[in-house]
Amino acid sequence: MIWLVAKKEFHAHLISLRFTTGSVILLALAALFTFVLVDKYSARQDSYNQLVARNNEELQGVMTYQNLRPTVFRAPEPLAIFSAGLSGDQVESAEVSIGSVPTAGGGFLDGNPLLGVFQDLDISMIFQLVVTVLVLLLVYDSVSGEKENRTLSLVLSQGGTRHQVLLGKLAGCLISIAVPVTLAFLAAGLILRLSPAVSLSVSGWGRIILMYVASLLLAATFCSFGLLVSALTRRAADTLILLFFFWVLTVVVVPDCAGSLAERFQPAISAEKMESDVQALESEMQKDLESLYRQNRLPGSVSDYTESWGWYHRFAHRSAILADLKRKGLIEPLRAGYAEKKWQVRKEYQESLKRQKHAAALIALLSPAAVYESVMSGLARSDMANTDRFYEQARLYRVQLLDYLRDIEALSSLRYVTTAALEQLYDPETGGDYFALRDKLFEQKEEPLDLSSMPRFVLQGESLRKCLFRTGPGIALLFFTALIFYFCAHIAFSRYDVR
Amino acid sequence: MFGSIVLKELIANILSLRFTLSLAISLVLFTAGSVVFVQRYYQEMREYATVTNTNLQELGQAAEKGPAVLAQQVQTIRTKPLPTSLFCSGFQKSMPNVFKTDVFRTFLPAVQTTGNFYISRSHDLDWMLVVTMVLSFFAVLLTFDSLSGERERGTLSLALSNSVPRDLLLAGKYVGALLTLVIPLALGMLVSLIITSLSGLLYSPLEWLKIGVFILVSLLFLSIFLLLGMLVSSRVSSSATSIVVMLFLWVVTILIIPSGCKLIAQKLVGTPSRAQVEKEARDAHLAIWEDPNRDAKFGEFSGNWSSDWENNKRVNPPARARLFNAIADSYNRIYLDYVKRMEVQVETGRKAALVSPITVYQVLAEALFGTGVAGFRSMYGQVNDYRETLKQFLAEEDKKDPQSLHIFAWDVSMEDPRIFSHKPADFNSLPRFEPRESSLAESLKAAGWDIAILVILNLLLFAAVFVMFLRSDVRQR
Repeated sequence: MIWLVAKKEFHAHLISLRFTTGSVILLALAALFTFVLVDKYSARQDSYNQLVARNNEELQGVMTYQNLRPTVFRAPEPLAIFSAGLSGDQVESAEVSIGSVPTAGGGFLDGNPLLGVFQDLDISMIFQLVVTVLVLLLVYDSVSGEKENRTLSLVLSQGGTRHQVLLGKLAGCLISIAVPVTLAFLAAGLILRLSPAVSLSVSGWGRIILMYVASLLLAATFCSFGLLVSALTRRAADTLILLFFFWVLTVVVVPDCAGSLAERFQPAISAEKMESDVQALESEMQKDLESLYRQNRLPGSVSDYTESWGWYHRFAHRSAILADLKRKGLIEPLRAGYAEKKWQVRKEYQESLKRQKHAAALIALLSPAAVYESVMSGLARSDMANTDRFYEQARLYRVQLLDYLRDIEALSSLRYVTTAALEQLYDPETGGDYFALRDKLFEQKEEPLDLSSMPRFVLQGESLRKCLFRTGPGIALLFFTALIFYFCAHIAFSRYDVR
Repeated sequence: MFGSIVLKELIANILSLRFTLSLAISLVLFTAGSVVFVQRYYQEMREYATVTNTNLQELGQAAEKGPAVLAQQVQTIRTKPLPTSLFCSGFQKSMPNVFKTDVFRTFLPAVQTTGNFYISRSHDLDWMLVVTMVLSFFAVLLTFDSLSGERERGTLSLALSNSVPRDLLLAGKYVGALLTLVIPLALGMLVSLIITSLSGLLYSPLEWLKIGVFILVSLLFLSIFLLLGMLVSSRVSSSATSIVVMLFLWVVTILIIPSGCKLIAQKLVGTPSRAQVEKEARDAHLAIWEDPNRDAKFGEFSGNWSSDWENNKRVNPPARARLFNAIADSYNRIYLDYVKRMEVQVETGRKAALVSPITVYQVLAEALFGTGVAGFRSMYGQVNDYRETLKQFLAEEDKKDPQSLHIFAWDVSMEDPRIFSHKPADFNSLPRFEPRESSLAESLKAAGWDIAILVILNLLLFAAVFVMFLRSDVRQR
């Protein structure tokens, strides 16, 4: 009986105008946007490769350890085309050095900020908008409409129980909606597969399958809610109106406004205050540095430095270089200490932002569409956790780098401040001509630092298992919401006057 | 007769479920939006005051050191938070609002966000959001069955069997629906304004005038969706079909077209990243400095400097001034080009998106209240104008100093009081940056075309509905 009803519903949907229109729109939009977004992804991938290559090139030309400031980059996520989440238009990056701890929030605004007037559209957004409308259109008249057409009592007189009929209707609707959703995912998958810019691992495809499951669960939630409202109302017209107000609230209003509401109820530390605290630390550090400079003046003139933006000593008095090295030994720990302090201020600010984000997520639980969105961005590795993960690892990398510098005792080696060896430098006591020594040194080619044993940054992306652990509750929530709505629909339908 | 049709429509609408629901939703949103806005506005005002005061303080300190130091002083100018952003915030979270400038260069504007960068999809709860997302949706739900529904029930032929011409019936239905829409709009705005005035936020007469224009424009925008609904409704045979068409039309015009146009803009107009621009500016600086023909271009010994410049034959201050001004100008030009490119990119996207009335409406509201892209553009222009004013003022001040050689150039003027005046300037007569609010006439002029588009679209749709309805079969099928 269930199967019979489902088959009938499926056939009825298949030939209806709403189904055809909705499916065509869904397929067309999904294919079009996948195509365009893959193109955009490959452009970002190119610029990522260029940035990494340039950074490596710069690293190969670093002459002294004091100028060692590698930049780390986050490779764009191919799956972000499904859910853009926090991934902006630019490649995220962080400079790693003694004087600064990598912090989130800098690289986000790097694109053209004016483009913020347009909302970002991704595949999950299209699903949220089109699939849900289509589901509601398919299901809104399945109880109240059939009652109005007087077919409902006929169906029930066939010997099936109400439970079977309702389950059949749900199954029929889900099977119908699965057709365009599956096709859309297949089309997107095909475009991804054929595109030379994208290469997905097995776990990448696993993520896409999970996204597919989440999309079906979203459809199921809306479907059972539609059945519920349909079984609560007498007239199909009323069902329609109620359902579409529910739709505009869950799909458009709640996800758009949760952030603003969270701002009201969970205020974060103001960016202005954080900046001024950081500035205060900065000027405190400058003061400390100045007093350090005053106490450790360098003897005589030091400079014959190179004319590039990152300067270092090319040639100088031996005593001056040694004094400078000694002074660096005091300066660098001071800078590292202040970097840590500044990071603490920024961390506190970020923690308050995160609390706000969690409040927004809590408000957004009202809307299954918002839950779906967070599941999708989790699966696409474009959500807050993954952004934090990048900066967390960049910070770990900084620690590794500092450890490396300590291990090779960079701070006590001459190579920290100059390319010249001690015996090549001028020493008034042993004598010799300053300019002759200098010219002799300048004839030699400088050797850049040997960084072959330096640790390199490799971003460990979140594994599928861990990702499932995080997005699992969201998926389960969607499933149980659907189940609860269906259960309520069941109760409402058992008490429904079908005449 | 017309009056009674309108009244009948109005009452029928008000008694309907959809009216109750949309009234409730829009009241909730208007209230929540105003409460959120008031809190944020005061916080932003405090921050704005801090930044502005710090800037003035630093300017005062620089003034004591004289025009040469003032010229080099980098000022930080913040966009003033607008009380009118309650109506149309113009995506202020992503608009650049920090402008840094000395008298030689305007630096790249930056975004000091008050928002949370961890929240990716966040709209300000302004009046526009309620109009575009909730009330336009309500407009669709109000008219999708206005003709097809009556035809299905058979009441349409009954109504026309009275001596009512079709055009009168149609106009009556339209006016009735429009009046129904006015109720949640007006009530919501009233609640919102009561909340803001209770918190002590009062609007100026000019702002009230702008609010009036905004309400009219909102109605023009909503009327498009009413007419679209009626158009579809007069064409199709059943309300079920009508709602399918209307919902997809709504999703595409309100949500999909504006987002799709971002991709178009990015494809057609590329913008380099900020870091690239900074690098380009630095490279240009080096190129001018290391140019082998430098001395031929700017004069002999332009690169040299010595504290004993008066007696040193190998120092040529005017040539050096020309060189340094050329470098400052090259920075300025590159920054300006970049900002222009940013603007062109967003304009391209917006032009493409003009096919959707929501973009027309957004552009209009931004022009009216001076927020969004229009606000940014005006602010950037004002900062540049201010830079020129200050430059002229400093040149005038310098002329009063008999010691000075009046060589006004980036970096060079700082070197010596005999090159450019170092006498304390009068802080009180020093021009300060004051944001200027555009008058209604200016706003309307900027928004003229968009209003015309909205009006023309309305007229066209009304004519189409009229023709379609005249030709349609009113009998029950």
